[in-house]
Amino acid sequence: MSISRKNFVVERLRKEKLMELLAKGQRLDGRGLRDYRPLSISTQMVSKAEGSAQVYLGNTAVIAGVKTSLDRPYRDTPDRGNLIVNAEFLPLASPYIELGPPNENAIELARVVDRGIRESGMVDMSKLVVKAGETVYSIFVDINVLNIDGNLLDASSYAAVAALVTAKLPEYVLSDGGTPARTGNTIQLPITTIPVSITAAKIGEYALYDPTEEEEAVMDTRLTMAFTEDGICALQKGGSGGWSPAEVMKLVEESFEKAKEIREQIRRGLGLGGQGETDQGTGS
Amino acid sequence: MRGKKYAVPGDLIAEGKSLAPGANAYKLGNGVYSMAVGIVEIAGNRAGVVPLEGKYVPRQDDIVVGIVIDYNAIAWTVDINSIFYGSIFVRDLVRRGSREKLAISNVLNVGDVVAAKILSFSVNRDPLLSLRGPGLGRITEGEIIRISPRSVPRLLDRRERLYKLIEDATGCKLIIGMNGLIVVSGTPDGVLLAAKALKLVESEPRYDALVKAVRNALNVGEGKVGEADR
Amino acid sequence: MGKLIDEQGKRTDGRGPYDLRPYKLEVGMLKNADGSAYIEMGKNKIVAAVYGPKEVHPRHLVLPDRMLVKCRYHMSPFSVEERKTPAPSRREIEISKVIREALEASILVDEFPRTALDVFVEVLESDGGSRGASITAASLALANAGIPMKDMVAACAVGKVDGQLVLDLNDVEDKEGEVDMPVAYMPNLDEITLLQMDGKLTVEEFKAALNLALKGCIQLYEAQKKALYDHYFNSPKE
Repeated sequence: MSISRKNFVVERLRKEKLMELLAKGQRLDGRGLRDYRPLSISTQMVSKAEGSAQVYLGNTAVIAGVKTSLDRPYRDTPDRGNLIVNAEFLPLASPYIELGPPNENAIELARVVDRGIRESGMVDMSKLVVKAGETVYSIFVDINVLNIDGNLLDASSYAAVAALVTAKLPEYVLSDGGTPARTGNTIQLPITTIPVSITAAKIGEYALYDPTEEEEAVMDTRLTMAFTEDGICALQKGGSGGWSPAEVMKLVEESFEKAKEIREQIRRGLGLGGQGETDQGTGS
Repeated sequence: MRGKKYAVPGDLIAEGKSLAPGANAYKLGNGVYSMAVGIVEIAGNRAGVVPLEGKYVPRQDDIVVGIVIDYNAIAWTVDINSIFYGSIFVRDLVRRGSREKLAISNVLNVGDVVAAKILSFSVNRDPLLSLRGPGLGRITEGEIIRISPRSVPRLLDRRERLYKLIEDATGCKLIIGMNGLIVVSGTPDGVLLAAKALKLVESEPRYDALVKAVRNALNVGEGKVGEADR
Repeated sequence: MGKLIDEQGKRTDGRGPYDLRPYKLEVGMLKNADGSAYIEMGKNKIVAAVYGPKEVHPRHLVLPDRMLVKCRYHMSPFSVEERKTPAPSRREIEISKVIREALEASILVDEFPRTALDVFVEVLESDGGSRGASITAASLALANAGIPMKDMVAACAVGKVDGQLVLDLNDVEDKEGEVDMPVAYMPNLDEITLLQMDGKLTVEEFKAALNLALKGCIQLYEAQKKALYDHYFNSPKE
C-alpha cells in the first residue's frame, strides 16, 4: 500500500528565504535555477565487483555495483541478455530511514533508473548471448544510496551508467562440447549510448534542476527525464502536485539541451573520447 | 450558467468577478467551481454547493445518535457515524465521589444507544459529547434507521416539516441525529412505514419531488399534515 | 511479430489511431465502501473503492496538518493470461505510488487534518492502460464518497506502434509497441498529475504525444461527469 510521506519539517523562516531567493532566480546554496551541484564520479573501486562507481552530486552520495553471471534468458527475450536493476536506501543515509525491505521510493528509483538504461538501448543486450535461448549474461546493477541530500534519481542514474561503462567481465563462449567456457579474456559491456537523467523540482511557479533534500521537502512536484542524444527515453513525474502541459513541454525542451552538457561531464569523468566514441563492442 | 441546479466536482457553477465561493466551492479566475456532487446554491454574491455525499462532520450543539463501543475509567467511546469516535467523560454522568461504588458499565455499557449533544470538536481534539440536557441520554426503545447525514436537513426543513409528517402518519416517535442515525419507536407497521419514508428522503435530492414521494408513500393528500396535528 | 497497424490504418482491434476503446463507467455499486466506481476500458475491468475520511491506523503515521492518503493498486491473480501471484509485485508497488500521487493532487487534503483516506483499486481483468483506467475510476469513487476535490482526474495512455502515435494502448500495443506514455490530467486546473514514459521519442514527437493524451483525458473527463450526472440527477424512476 502506498502511503503519503511525512516530510521532514523545513522551518518557516528558511522556507520564506527560499521563496524570496527564487523570485530573484537564486537558490539557498547560491546556485541558479538551472545549475547542477558539483558532480564527481569515481569508478572501479570495488575489486570484487565487475563494475562499480561512486557518485557525489553535491552532498548526495550513491554507489552502484555491477555483477554479472551466466543465466537462462527471460522467456520473452531468448536472444538477449538480462538486465536487473535494484536500489536500496541504506539506513546510514539519513536519520529518517527505517530499516526494512526496499519501500516504494527505492522501488520507484530502481525502476526509473532501469528504464533510462533499458529504453535508451545503452547496453546492446543482443551481444550478451552465449547460446540463444539457453545461456546469456545477466547484468545486475545494485544501487546503494549512501547519503541523501536530494535528487537521488539523477545521482543513482549517473552511478549506474558509470558502473556499466567501466565494468570488466569475464568472457564466455560456447565450447566444442556445447557448454559455456571462459576464454580467459575480460571484456567490457557493449555500450551504444550514454543516457542522461535530468530531474527538475517545481516550487511555486519555478522549476529548479537538481533539487536538494530541503528543496524536495517543500516542492510541489518533480519531473525526472532521461535523454539519449536523439530524444527522450524515459519520464517519471513524482510527488503529489502537477505540471501544466506548457510547463512540461518547455522543461523537456530545455532539459534535452542540459542533458548534452551533463553527458559531456560524464564522458570526461569516465575518460571517454569525444562524441561518437561510445561503441565499445565486446572486444577490449 | 444561469439556473444550473446540479454540480459535480470541477463544474463551473457561476461566473463573475465579484462572486465569492460558498461551501464546497472554490474560485479560479472569474469562475466559481464545485468541489462536490450536489445542489448548486447561490445566495447574494456567494455560490456554493450543498453536497449529496460525505460523512457527518461534528458541529458544536448538534444532537447526534450514537452507539457506545468502548469505555475506560475516564470516558465512554461512542460511534457517531463520523470521521472520529466521540467521547463522553465519565464525570459527565457520574457524580464525584460515587465513582468507586458504581461500575462504569452500569451507567452506560457497550451496545447502548444514546442521544447526545456535541460539546466541542476542533482540528486538535476528537468530538466531545454530553448527555446532559432535555431529551438526551440512553435510549431504551426503538429501532435505528440510518440515512446519509447529508439528507437530514431535508428531513428537518421547515417548509414541509417532513419529520412531523412521518411521525403523524405513522404514529411513531422520531429521535433525529444530525449524523444520520434516527431512532424510530412505535408499532411494527408504523416503524416499517417510517423506515420506507426515511429511505426516500435519502434517495431523492430534489425537494419538491421528495415531498410528493413521501406524501405518496404515507398515503397523505396535498396540504393535509394528518389528524394528529389539529 | 506481425504489424500492429494495417494498410488501412486500422489497429489490431479495428480502431483508428486516435480512437479510445469502448468504455463503461458505473458509480456506487459497493455498499460498504464510502465511495466506489467500476470501469471497463477495452477488456480492462477495474473496481475502485474509497474508505474515509477516517481515523489513522497505525497512530504513528498521523499527519497533524493534512489527510493521509493510502492507495493500493492490485491485480487479481486471474486478471492476466498467466496467473499472477497475489503478492504485490514491484510494478504494483510503483503503480500504487503514482496513482496515489495523481489523485492526491486533486484532493483538498488540508481540509481533513489527522484523518486517513484509503483508496483501493483491484484489476479484475487487465488489457493495457490499466493504471490510467484505475485513476479514472478512483476519481469517480472519491466523488461518490463526498471527498471534496478541485477537479476530476482522468487518465489514459498514448504510445507509438509501427512509427505512428496512437491513443489508448491495448494489451498487444502495450507489450509490443515502441512507446508507452500514461498521462493523468485535471482539465480545470490544466494540471498533469501523472506522467510516465518509456520508449523512444524525439522532443517534437513527445509534444505531439502529450497533446494526443490530453485529448483522450478530456474525453474520459466528460464521460466521468456524465456518469455522475446519470447516477445522481438523471434518475429513470421519474
